[in-house]
Amino acid sequence: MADRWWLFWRRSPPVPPAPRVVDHVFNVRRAERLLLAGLTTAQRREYPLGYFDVTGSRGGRYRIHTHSSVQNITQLSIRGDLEFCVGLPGVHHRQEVLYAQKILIEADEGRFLREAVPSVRRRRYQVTTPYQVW
Amino acid sequence: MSTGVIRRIGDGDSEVIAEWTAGDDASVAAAREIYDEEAAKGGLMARSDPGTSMTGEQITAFDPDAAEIVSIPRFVGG
Repeated sequence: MADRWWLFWRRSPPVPPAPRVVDHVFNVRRAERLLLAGLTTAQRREYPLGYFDVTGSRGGRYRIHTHSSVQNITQLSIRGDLEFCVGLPGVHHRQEVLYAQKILIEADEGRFLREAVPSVRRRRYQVTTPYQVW
Repeated sequence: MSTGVIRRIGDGDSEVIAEWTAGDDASVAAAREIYDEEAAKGGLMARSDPGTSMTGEQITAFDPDAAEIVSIPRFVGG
């Protein structure tokens, strides 16, 4: 046994694998709960459809698409051809960005319009409003 | 006794950074201090009361009657 001393070498305790995936899933679910808790009843009804509509503090109407957190805000106007992009640096969870976008539009629409970058809407969104002209 | 919280939107950990109880002067003062620190960072401070009006309402001063105050860091258009 003397030549097998290494069998009795005290091994360092096993290091559990970093639960990064678990943490991510947990955080996503928590962020989604936070978002859903902050939505109105009408917005919560729209959420499974992939969007929810928000009324700005100045009365503007916007549609926040939930599949992405960038270029996901469409203005519901007569033409409805503007989309906006506004993000939170350092925040990568989509649901938290969506919640922040909703709060920004509802609380300070002027600031939203100042800080968001508008662009012409692409064809991926079908905006249907009673005022749509085409 | 109504309670309120200040929640900071973060990356997956939108944590409650302050909590107070209406009528408890010490907790309200502590929450007010944290509110001032957050507001000084230049982000958006909004009142969002889940279960009540549930709409964001910008506030410029600490409101002890709010059920939830959301602190959102700076936005960047992209």
